[in-house]
Amino acid sequence: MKGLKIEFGTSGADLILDEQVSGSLATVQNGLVNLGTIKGTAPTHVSRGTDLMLKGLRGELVSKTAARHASNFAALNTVVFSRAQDPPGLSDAERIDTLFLTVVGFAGQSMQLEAAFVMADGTEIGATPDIII
Amino acid sequence: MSTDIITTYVPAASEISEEAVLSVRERLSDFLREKWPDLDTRPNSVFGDLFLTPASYMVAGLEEGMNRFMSDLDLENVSNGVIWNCEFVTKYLGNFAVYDRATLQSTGLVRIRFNEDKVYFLDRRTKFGLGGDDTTNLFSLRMPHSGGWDINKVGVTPTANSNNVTLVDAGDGTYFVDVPVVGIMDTQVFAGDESTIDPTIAEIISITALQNFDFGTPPESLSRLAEKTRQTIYAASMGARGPARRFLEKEFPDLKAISVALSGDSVMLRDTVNALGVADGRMDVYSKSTWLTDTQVVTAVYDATEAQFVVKLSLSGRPVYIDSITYGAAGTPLPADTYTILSRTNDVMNANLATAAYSKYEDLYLLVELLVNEAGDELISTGHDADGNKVASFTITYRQDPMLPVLDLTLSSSDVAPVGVNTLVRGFVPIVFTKFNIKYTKRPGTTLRLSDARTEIFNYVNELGHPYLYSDAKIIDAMFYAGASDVREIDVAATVRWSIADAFLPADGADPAEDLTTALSEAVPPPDVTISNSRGLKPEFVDPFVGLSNETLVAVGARNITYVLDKALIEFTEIEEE
Repeated sequence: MKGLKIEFGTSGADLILDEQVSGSLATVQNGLVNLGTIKGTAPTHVSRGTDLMLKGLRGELVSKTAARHASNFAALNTVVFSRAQDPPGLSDAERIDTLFLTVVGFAGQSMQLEAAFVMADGTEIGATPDIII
Repeated sequence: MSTDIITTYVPAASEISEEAVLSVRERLSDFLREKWPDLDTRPNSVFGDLFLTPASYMVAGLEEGMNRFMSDLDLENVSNGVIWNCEFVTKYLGNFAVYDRATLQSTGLVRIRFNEDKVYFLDRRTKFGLGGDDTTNLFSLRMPHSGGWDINKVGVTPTANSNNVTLVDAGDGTYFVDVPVVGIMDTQVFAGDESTIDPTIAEIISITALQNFDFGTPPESLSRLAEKTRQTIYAASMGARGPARRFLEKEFPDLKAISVALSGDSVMLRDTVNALGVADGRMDVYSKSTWLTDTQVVTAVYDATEAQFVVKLSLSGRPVYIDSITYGAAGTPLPADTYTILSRTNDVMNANLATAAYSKYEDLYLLVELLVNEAGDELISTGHDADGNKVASFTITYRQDPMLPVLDLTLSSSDVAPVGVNTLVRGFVPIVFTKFNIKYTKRPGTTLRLSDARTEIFNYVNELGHPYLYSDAKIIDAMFYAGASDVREIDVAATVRWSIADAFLPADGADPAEDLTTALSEAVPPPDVTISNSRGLKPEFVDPFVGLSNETLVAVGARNITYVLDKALIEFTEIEEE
């Protein structure tokens, strides 16, 4: 799989038109987009996205426990949705097996998560997205 | 024709279901994967979210738009009322020569009344203005043959295969003919509307429309047009039974019923008269349009031997039912048992005996007994004609089918007439009700709309003709609709009217107008077929005496019957709920 690159930062996400992501990184990038998408806002796929952003906006992530709880559900939703969208013939290296979201801490108005994607072939890819709340 | 496909056929994005978009998205993904197998089209991918999903909406909309467009091409859908673009469907139906009423010609009859009995000629380019001016409702003569229209003097037999009609003596010093006209009707022409004529003929007293003209295509919806197209598109010619029927439905959409009987059908007895035993092709076209009631005065000559007045009827239209015959200035009705009508073919090679009934080959003779009172005084006022014969005048009120002569003319055209098939246009054989009593129940306190039921039943029964035959179910429906709780019995009685005549004369027999005594001795009454219950209203009967001296060649079956029911005859009898 091959797609355009999105660069995630503290101010949001930027689309990089002259760079590509491919293979497992394309899948991971899609997973990160899913984590930040509010569930129910996608016009076609009702199960797309998570409640993580919404809970943050509502102020429900008041403790690390609550944040961890929400993160675990977000990880689970993302894995399930990602697997459902895998086209036939996709290699194991490009399919998510497990996603771990670890709450690193709160910094000001943001919560810092550490994401670790375990692909179906056993490869681990770590990423640390910033979820702005 | 420029069509805005998006606003006409494509649904709004909000109307497109998620299932439809997902289905399209999946198919587009598969489609793209063939060319770009590595392209990430999954949701959450840049390409998938920013291009493929919006594109899926567009394609899903176009797919639905195409489905709607194809639905407009499927006349079954259109005939069921599913139409997405009326403008397109109208033009599409135009390909099958099915047009809306603004562009299709109407056919009707006008009665031209002259003040002198002489030969007239109507130029082929003659125009009739039925709109009161020279710009609207302009009609031309509907002529099946080349040349103009010849109008003969009273009593002259029209020449076959030509545009030729004979004047009818109205009995009041005027003479008239009914001629078919065709044209585009801008506004409705009603019976009795006056018409202008160009060029004019000095002897013309008046020209009036004989009937309410029907728009070429009844003022119906596109869906009805589509249904008609489905029926007519497969074949419309006079080549065989189905196509012939379709052809006539297409040419004369205002006909109520059309049926075609061919050699070999049970109701076809014209093929039995072939003396050589050669099985030539015969086609009887039965037709029914809206009947008109007409009145005409006839003068009959007295036959002293039989003590009866006799006259060969020369009625303006093709009579299909006699309502009454009256005499005297007061219009006193003749009792039914005091007059007789005899039928005789005028072309035995084409139609003999009852096979000529309700067709152009049937001549009719009216015989009226000399009525006297108890004192022996004559009740019918008489006079004398130019030859000194004792005569009396009678007024006949009858129903005619105005489209029968028009169909005759059309089917005699060499452009239309089927090759090698002898075609005859006839009126359906009417089954005349003499009793129609509906026994029903109703719940206490219910008010029945019997007037509505009567009208509905009257309309239903009198509109019937092949392939639509009488059914009790429709009567019961009408009663339920009027408020009845149940219909216990529909008590009917009816007779088959083989002809408006009471008896048939052999073709080579005596002419009643010349030798009434011999003619009466040769007259053969047809079998009396009476119907005493509603199950018998679809009779199948063929003359059992075919080939014998008393044959009449009568035959009825599903293909050639219609019904005559007078509104006043419909009775309702309420019975107690058990």
